[in-house]
Amino acid sequence: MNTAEISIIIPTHNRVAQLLRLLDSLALQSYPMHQAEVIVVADACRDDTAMQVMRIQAKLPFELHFFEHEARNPGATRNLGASKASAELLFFLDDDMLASPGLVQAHVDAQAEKGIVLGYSRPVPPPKPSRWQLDARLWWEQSFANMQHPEHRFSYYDFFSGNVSMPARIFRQVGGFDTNFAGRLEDYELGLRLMQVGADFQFCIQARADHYDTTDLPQWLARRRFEGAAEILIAERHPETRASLEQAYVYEPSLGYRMLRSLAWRGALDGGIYNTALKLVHQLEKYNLRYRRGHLVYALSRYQYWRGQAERFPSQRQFRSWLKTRAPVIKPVKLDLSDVLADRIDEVELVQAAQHGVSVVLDGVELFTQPPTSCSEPTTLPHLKSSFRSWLRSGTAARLHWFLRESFSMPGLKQTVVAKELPPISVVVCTRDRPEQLARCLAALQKQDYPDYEVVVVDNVSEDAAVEQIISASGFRYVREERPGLDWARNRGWQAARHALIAFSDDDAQPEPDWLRWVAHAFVQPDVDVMTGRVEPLALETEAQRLFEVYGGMSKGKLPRRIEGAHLHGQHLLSAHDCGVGANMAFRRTALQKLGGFDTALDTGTLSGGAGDIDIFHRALVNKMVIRYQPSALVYHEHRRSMQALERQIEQNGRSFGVYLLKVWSQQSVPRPVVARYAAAWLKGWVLARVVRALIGKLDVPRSLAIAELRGALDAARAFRATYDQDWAIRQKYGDEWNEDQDMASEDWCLELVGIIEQTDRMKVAIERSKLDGEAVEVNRGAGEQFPYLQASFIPDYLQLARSLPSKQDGNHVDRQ
Amino acid sequence: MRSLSETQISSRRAKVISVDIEQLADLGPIQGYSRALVIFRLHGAVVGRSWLDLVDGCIRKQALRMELEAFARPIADRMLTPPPPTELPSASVVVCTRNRPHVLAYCLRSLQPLAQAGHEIIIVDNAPSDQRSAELVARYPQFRYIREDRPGLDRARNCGLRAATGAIVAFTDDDAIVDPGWLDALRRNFVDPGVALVTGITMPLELETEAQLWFEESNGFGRGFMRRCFDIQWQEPLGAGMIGAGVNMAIRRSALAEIGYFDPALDGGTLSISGGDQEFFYRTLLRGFQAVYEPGALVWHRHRRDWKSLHNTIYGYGVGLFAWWTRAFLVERDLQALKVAVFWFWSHLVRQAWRALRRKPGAIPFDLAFAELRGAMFGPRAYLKARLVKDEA
Repeated sequence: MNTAEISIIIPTHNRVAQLLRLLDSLALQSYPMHQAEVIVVADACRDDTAMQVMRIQAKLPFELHFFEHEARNPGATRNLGASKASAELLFFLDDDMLASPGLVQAHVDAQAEKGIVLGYSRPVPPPKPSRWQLDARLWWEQSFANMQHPEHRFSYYDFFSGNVSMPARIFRQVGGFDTNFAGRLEDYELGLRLMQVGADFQFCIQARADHYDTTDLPQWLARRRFEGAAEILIAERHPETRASLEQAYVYEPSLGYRMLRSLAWRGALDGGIYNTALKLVHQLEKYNLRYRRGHLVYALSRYQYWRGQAERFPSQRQFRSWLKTRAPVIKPVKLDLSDVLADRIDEVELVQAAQHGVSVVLDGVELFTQPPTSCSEPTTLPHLKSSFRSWLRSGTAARLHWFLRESFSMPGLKQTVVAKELPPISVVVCTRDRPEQLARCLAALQKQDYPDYEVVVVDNVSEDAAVEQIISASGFRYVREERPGLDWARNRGWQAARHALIAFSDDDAQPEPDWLRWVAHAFVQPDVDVMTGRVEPLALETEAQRLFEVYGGMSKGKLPRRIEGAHLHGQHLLSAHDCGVGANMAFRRTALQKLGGFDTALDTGTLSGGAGDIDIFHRALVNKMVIRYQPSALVYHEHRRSMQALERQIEQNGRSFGVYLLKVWSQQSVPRPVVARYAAAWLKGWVLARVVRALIGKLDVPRSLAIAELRGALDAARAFRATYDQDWAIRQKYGDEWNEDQDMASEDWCLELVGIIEQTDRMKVAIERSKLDGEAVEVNRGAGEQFPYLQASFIPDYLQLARSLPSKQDGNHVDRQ
Repeated sequence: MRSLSETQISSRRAKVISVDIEQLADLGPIQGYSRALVIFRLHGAVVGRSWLDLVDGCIRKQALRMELEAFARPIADRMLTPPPPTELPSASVVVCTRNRPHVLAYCLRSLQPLAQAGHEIIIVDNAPSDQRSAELVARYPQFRYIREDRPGLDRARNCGLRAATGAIVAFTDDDAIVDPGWLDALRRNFVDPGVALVTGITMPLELETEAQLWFEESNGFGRGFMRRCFDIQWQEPLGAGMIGAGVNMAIRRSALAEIGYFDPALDGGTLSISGGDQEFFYRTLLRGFQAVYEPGALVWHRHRRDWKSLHNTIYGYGVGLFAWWTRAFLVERDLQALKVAVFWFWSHLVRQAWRALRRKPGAIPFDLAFAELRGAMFGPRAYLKARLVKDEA
């Protein structure tokens, strides 16, 4: 008795013919069966199982023990069998299986690694199978094919007790099957506990048994009801599974199915209607009307599932509130994609990390996550690679191009070169009466990890004297702009800036230390004129800040994009707000010159209230420029803290977008019918739809915000007239000389010549004039070597001119104004 | 192979060139052609194809590179495919032929390496009128030669299926040449136990005549460059033509018990002319098996050279399609077939013929459109008549 190596436990219930067939097949194993014992446990058998088994017992080449009980529960039956087993290895086999000759041997061999060995139960449908039985076969085969895949991540629902072996030690450690469950749910529940003790799962296709399953649609539908109830039981014990339940509940988009759910909770279709529907399924199947049958079967299965859930919770309200009580989400561990793909990760570290889930990032950008381990086996590198593959396959063409170009450096495809040379960059920050935020912003700019950059802070009619003090304390250049309006300040800023690349940020933003490096990276491709980056919230402390993110936020996604104006037309040119935001953008100086700077009638400080950034992106695209969205260039933005400020901002968003569309209409940079259609779609699909959803209580933000946006949008026509009138008045009063020649001459940016060669003549004039005026112009003596691509004819005179000028130490330069 | 007469060669003829995208180089110089069909391959699989003009008989590497941008998805998919398992199921190759020894010779030569690697190769000679094919096969001692005297491509296929001993039976036509990695690429997909059918990609061997050019330009055998899995949940079985064609397919023999054999009343040699392969694909899906389209398994096919044969082929497609839909309706009691057939007839065939008649841009030549329409009208009768003939035999 004690010599048995493996105990084969077969629960049976009124299936004597199948059982005898199975015992016969076990007699023909390649494994020496005298080392095995077979334990047959009959549960509430009403046929002659006991007699038949006794009859053949003597003829079998293995020891056979027969037990009977009246539990009417497969879990309890298996537990009884396991308690009678003497071997160290338990092998559970169902009575409707037919063992292949190598089955036992394969299990014993695979058990060398001491884990859970799942065998391959090849589904064999009965003769003349129904549609459901064929579909079930397909489902089984597909799930086995997945398990066979070396990168499969096992989860608790892969556990099937029909053909599985495990060391008795593990079985006793987890306490066997839970007898509260039945109908395959006991498998899931045991699988979950096995996962939690860290049992090692493996699939062995050689351990094949043919599964003669006679289940059909009505039985399966009945079981669905049980599943609904039991899944809640599982989730009560293991709260980590609750998330998927909640997802399934919340994600019920169609009204029809929501109504069916309400009917299921009341049990309204039980009995007559349900049975009629089952008969209808049969008729549809007879004539191969596949689609109608499929829909009906799906509806019936959902109905039964909800019936099961309704057994546990009398009302949907109770169910919903139960779903809400969940464990807090744990932050996943970050791993770099390049390390994952190049196998540069320590497995041991990974297993520890995987307790909290893994999030895979590239250049600081999150790509995809692997959930924590409680329901599945610990994440390993192959799992991560496999999910990377599915992430990529499920994605858009842009994702694939990005993958081929940037991460694998696919031979033959264009490659992006990482910035090796870091060209000097000017950063322009415009501010108005926000000294505290400005101080934080400037502190972040001081921490930039970049060799050569300057910061120009443009003070736009600030009344607070602290602003000037903060700027002078920071050591950055201070420029005053008297004309109110963010775009006046931006124009003043880029005119005052010295370098060929000009990056813009806001005073309420804080760039990451590597921000400028990524800005430079974006401009490595010579055809990129405009760069935008990602903007994430600095803090979500107040409700207003959280709501701003819910309302859309400022982030434009996690993947790099190249937006080529030459290939866009119509409404795609109008969707310039998808390119980025003003808090994180950069331009080549040439691009700004070609575009004529920012439109001074727009953006904060004017009556339009915004859209200066959208307008310039739009004009860049219309001028066939290339915008690169570089999400790794990250800037944190401090959202408005109070609800009133948020509401004002949302209203301004609505107003300024309307003003922007009216400007495009009047300028006709896009055909007017396209603008009209786009504006209608925006009003209907975005603004009004939100208001309607807010009114019926389906919006996840307060309705005052949706109404504020509508108010802004309706006000756009008035604001459009008013802001351009005001702009005209400002130009009358202060002049609009910022783009005049004499103004350029006052600045000393002209030593940076990248890309402005076509303006040679204008340059010469400017330098001559500044010499005459005795203005200080800083000279870079090595200019000739630095710009080898300058036109040869131009270099001599330019250098001569430059050398003849007096040099001046760079300091806190204060503008003339 | 009989050489082409001067009059047959098209002035638009294109050179078929296969390039490995990992080793791109300037192509050429190629004499006598003004353009080329470039077939891009990665790890042996086809990831894309483009029609390119030859400049002084050459194509620059840069021009090839530019084309690759369009094939990002298949390239990425191929790069991400994990290495195949080491243990593959055994396979037999069946080639059915009928009185075409001059074409068969090329096919046999391409199969020679497979035979040397230990695979079983079966040549089924279907109702031959002379001994030429038998003599040709006799030159290859490793090949098995079987004669099926009753005419019909599906009869010959069934004969091959019954004679084969491998777990997998791969089929190709006598006018095709298989690529060296063809059989392994097909076998790889059978590792999943639920897969009963795998089809591969078919590329033109030559594009010399108008008929061949038209067939390729209208994407005759094209099924894309991505590996795809089909099952009844996501693919309507009546649209089984999506899966592939009989020129390049492999079947798991153990699944035949449920799917059944090819219908002898369909396909070449009978009144139905074609459709036997698609009808088999239909039953594969209907019986709950999976089918896979694998662009790694490449077969080079010599399309019909003269316009008259092309005309007959297109006519045959019309007949075959409606013949097997008739079978689906009558034998499988598939009411859906009636709906699909009516829809396809009016919204595709009639519309196509009408557009051709009015010479709309992009319309196919009228004689072909009309041939397909005529074929479709004859299809149901052809099937019933073919069955009567079959019953008599």
